[in-house]
Amino acid sequence: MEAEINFYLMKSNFLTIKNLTKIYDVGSPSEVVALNNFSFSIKKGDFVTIVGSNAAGKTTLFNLINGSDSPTSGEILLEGEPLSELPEFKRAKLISCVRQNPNDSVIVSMTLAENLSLAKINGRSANLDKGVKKEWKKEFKKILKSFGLGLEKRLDDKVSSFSGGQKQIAALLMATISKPKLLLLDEHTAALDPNVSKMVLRITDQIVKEEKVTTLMITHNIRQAIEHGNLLILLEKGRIGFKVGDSQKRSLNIIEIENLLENGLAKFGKF
Amino acid sequence: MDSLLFTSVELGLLYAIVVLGVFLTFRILNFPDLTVDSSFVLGAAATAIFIRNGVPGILSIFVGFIAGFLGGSLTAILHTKLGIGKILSGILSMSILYTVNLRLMHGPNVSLLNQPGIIEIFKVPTNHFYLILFLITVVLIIKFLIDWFLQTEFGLWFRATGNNEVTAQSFSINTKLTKFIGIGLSNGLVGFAGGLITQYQGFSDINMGVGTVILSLAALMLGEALTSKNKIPILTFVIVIGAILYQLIVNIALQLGLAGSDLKFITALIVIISLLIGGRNKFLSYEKQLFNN
Repeated sequence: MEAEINFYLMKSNFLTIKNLTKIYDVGSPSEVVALNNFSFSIKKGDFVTIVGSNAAGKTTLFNLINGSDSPTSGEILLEGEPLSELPEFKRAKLISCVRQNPNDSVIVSMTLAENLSLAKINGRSANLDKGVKKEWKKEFKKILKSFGLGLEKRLDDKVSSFSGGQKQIAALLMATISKPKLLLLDEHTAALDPNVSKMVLRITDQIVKEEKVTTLMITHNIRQAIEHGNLLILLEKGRIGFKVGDSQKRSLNIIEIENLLENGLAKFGKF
Repeated sequence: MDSLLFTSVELGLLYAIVVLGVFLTFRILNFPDLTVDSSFVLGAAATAIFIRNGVPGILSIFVGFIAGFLGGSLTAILHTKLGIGKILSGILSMSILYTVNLRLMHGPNVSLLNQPGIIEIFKVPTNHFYLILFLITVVLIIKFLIDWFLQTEFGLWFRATGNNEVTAQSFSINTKLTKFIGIGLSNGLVGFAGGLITQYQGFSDINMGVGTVILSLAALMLGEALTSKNKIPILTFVIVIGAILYQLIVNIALQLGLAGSDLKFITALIVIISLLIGGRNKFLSYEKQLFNN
């Protein structure tokens, strides 16, 4: 009976992380526990912001989810299916990622339209049809116009001529145009100046809302974590240190969280 | 002097096909492929053997393409399946193909003994016009095929692989496949050109491929120095011009009294000068490739 209920709970959750542990250099003096029996689950359409100090396990968590690294133990389920059983190319279709470095999520030697077309092809084999289709270009133009940044005029320009913020907007659109189930944002505004960062986050909100894509966003900026998303998780030494939902989140202030971060760390005897 | 000019143009057009192949690996795929020196001979040897055995010249050049493709596949397999570095994969298959070429030709060279090849049809002793017209047609067809290919869906995959392999994989691009096809096609073109040049000169020789990579790079850089544009149809065009320019420079150097054995020095000099005047940034990728792999 209990097993059945557990199974039901698992099913109702969109992304479930069960007892995930990742230890680097097991058994050696430099052994590092990046994630320590970490569990949590989120529902479809959730926009989760993840904060935490350096080495809290944020990036490790993302690497385990997108499959570029494998856990020491534990598992990750997407709609009840273990991710580890998915072949790599299927995972790439289901889970999109925008990284911190603006040059890491786009192909800079190609035009914006070509980049977006690559994202359109994502999930199937390429053929010898024209790479950039007319009807796709129309679609790109429409979406880009809705951002109000004039990027629709730059579809035929090489992405190498774009600013960091423009590259990240392109990356966001590339990440979501293939309709992934999960969007991972790994400090995607950290390399941008505050104004551009704000603009990129505005577009992020817009895209997440329109595409209704379940999103996890890592950030160093506590204000961002509070202002965006509906669930905030504070990671600490590979565990959840603190978790707040939508209603509580709004009443939080930055100083409170900063205190929590400090107190939390003090509890572990560091600093 | 006129005859010298025409000969340069003919050779330039023939080698332009090699340079277009090298463009695919060095420039688009970011793969400094050294296989070229021997896949060139492989295409030449295979073509020569087929012609000697009575296969019409027009069919034999396609044999050159297939042979070159197989030669390139060897490098691609060494690199993608066995995980050997880019440069070393090329050097290894160069070594393997040297033996294969000798075996194929049963010796260091094969003469065509005036057996009719496709070049013979257009080669009139006193008139270069028809041959040049034929070669221009062939080169333009290949140029437009490359332009078309790089704009297809698979072409986008191919270009993405060369620019950033990790990002390409995150768009579920099978980068092993794109590399295999890319290196294969590139060497296929090189083998095809080897077959044509065999017919042009009337023999194939085990040493005819020595220095093809550096020659192609010189022609490639000469061509690229002619434009500041980065669009593929423009690049494939200036590369052809670069190949012809290279042959002209070489011929002028010979006219000025340099020995044939001095040419390698001249070629390297052209590459170095192109690197300097072309702007370091534009060509930095070459240096990066050669030292990082």
